[in-house]
Amino acid sequence: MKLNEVYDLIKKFETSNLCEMNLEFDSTKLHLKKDSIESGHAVRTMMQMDSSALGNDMSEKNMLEEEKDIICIKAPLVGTFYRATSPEEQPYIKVGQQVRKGDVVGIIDAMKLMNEVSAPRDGIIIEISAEDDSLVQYDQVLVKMKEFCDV
Amino acid sequence: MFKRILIANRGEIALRIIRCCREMGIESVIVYSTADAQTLAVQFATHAVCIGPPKVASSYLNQNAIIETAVKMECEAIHPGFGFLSENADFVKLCEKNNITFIGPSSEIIRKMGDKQAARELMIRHKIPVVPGSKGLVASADEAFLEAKKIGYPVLIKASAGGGGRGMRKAFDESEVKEAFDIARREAMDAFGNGDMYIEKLILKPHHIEFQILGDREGNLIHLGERDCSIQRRNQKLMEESPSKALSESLRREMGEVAVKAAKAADYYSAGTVEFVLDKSGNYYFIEMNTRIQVEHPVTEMLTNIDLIREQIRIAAGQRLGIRQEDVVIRGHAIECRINAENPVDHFKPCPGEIGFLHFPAGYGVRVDSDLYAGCTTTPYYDSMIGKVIVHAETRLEAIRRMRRALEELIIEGIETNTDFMHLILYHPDYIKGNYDTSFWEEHVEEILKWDRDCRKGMENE
Repeated sequence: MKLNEVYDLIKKFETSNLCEMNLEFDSTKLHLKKDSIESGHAVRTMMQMDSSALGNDMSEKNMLEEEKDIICIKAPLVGTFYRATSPEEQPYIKVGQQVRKGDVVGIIDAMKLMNEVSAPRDGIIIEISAEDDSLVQYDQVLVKMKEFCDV
Repeated sequence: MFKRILIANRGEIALRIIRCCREMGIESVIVYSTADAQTLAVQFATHAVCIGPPKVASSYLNQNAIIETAVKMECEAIHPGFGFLSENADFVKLCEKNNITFIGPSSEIIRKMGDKQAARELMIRHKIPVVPGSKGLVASADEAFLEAKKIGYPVLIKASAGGGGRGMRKAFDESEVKEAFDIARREAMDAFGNGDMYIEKLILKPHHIEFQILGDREGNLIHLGERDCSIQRRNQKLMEESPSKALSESLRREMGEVAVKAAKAADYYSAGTVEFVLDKSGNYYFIEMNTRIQVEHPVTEMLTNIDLIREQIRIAAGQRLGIRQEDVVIRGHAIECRINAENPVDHFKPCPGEIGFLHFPAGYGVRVDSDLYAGCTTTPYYDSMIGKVIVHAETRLEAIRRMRRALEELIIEGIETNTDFMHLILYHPDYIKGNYDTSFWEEHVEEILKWDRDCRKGMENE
């Protein structure tokens, strides 16, 4: 498979209704993925080809494992999500920050009762998905974090 | 008028309320459990907020989550539908505390009518006929024996906390009283942790007749005629119709007036239902008042051309009732059939699943209230009712024919339903003649199931 054929394929994939695509032939493996169909863009495109063809040394196995390490912390109840105890205070967490299991990452105010939401594992915060001072639904993703791997 | 209403319910009734809101120019906010994310109500509402997992205690009965959502979404009122929190006085109190209008009566009225013994005493004070029974609680089997003698046999021994047929025993003569009392009390202690018992006259083979009530907050109260709900399986209604064949014109007028009097005694407002049992000789007795909209409300809507959900919302917003008793015109005859996801051949076991091909009946005088769509999945977590077919015609026989025709058009593939069984009821001679009461089910279920088996066999042999 030639490089420009791959680029063509990515373009077609971007405009298609597909969310995910796996291609495998000869010495080539290709994995394409995007987050939402509506947006029409491939939010995240991952490509992996045999090193002899493209000189890319990242293996597909590694990429998949990285995906698996991401933990989504979800809202345990409906309420208002706050990143800090008060607007003047520092937020509990920032992107890139290391957290320990049990550290508070935010609070949900339901009927004026503050419910702390904590990290389920040790790791690094990679995204704060819920907006501060907004109504979050049950099971909505609040924070994404990456678990520390034993190396 | 309200700008935004929260709907604390699911299924077809949630959809019914959302449709009404749209027609009235009111925004709707539906709260739902994770099991209901793909339902029509969630898709049709202006806004939808997931409030919990499938278990009702964590979602549809989760008062804090519902109030929190209503406050944050700036809803001015909550419509509870039926079931769930619709008759929960504590929830209504919580709404009142948070300055949210509950679309229904006050917490005080709900509490008053929810306590069956207190409601009964209130009715006695206002000279509304109630089923003859003990004045208060009955402490022992001996006392029960004396009371039963006063009331006259047969009698029903009931737990005051009872429900769903538990803590309840019949006694047909003196020899049965002691045992019935002891068993009922033991059952009540086990099930409700409360051994308070009372005793009343057992009305054999009664009709279940209820009157639709509508009242505003200024004390204007009217009734919109009756519904005969005698076709029921273990106290669960299956088919309702109006006008009832069991009532003469004069009895209808009298019971309607008594129903209004009963509602007035409770200072009632909003939509509600006064339930009576009616015996063979035309004696009727108040049994309870339902302080909510009911499943079978479309029957009354078809006959009177009054949108009951719309009236409920208008009354809650403080508007005056636009109809006087003399303006109510009852035209023709209406029947409702409840369609349940259940298998009649297998003891009416609920059988949820994925709906394949789906076709709803239509045409003159036919209404379908359902939240099904082709490809949707009905969940095992909630009630097995998946829809209602309602017909309206000039006469009762025309309505029966129309209902048969409508059920013949109804196709629900993928799951078992009671449609065929309901269709067969419409061919039963006693049903056609209107010669039925609450014992109809028990007396004829085997016979109709046999018809069903024979029909299937006939089809296989062809």
